Amino acid sequence: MKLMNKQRIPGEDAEPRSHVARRRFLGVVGGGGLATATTVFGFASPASAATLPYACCHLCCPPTWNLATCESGFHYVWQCAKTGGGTCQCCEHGSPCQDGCSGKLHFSTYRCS
Amino acid sequence: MLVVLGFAVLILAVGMVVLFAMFGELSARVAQAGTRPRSTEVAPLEGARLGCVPDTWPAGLVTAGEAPSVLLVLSSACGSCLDIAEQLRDSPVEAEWDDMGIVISTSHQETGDEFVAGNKIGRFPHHVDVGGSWVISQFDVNFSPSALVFEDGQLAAAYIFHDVAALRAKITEASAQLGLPQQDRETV
Repeated sequence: MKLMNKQRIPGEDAEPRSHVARRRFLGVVGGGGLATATTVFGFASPASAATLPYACCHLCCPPTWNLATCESGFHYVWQCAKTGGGTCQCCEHGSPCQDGCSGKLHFSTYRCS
Repeated sequence: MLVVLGFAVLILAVGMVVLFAMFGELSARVAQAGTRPRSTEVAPLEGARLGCVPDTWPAGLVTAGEAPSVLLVLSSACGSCLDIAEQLRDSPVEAEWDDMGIVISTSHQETGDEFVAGNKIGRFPHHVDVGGSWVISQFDVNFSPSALVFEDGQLAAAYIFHDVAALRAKITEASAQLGLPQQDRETV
């Protein structure tokens, strides 16, 4: 039986220097990219619940129904001043803003004069 | 060949990042250009109970046993109030307004808390007023952005405003008309 023990020649398995340098360069580029992305996007302030601007109001939901419907049941109504003059009534009906908009359970509306 | 392709992909990726950064910068500048100039008008607020002394002050508004001499009434449902909060947050002059407190009228406690945190105005004495119940019951005010000015604990004036610097100038002018220097007014 012939033994297939191949003798290791020093330096035969070693990768060429150019491969090592390329690998290091790409490693540095990749690491730098990750660090940049972490810095730019990782420390962004958390987004707050979106509100929608209508006249001088800032509503939780797109306005639906009318002010009289909004003012029935649990609601919050407040007045604001428009920059160009005049006032608006802003109304939020039902559950908190963070719960989302759901038909007549939670909706927003406004009226300006 | 593989190396060339790799570099081409890398350059394309960098190009995409730069392109999106330019889009972001452009959209920010377009938004700024479209913003209407802020009104510096400070008008009296009709219907406020002038001369009244509040029964109680919410704990959040009292600092070292003293109630504020100016109370800004903001609302989570009011768009202009976001601009007022931004002025308070960003201007170092307004940030050092000592005898001022903020009432945040809101539909729910969590909405008011989010307004305070999101606009970073928590360092000022403030009170989240659910339903606006305190400010309505004490002063009959359900309007924002408005400012309530107190003299010796009494509601002396109520204003509608859009610009914090203009409001402060108006308050200084009003106290000067009373013949009292601003720094002595609080000790009288």
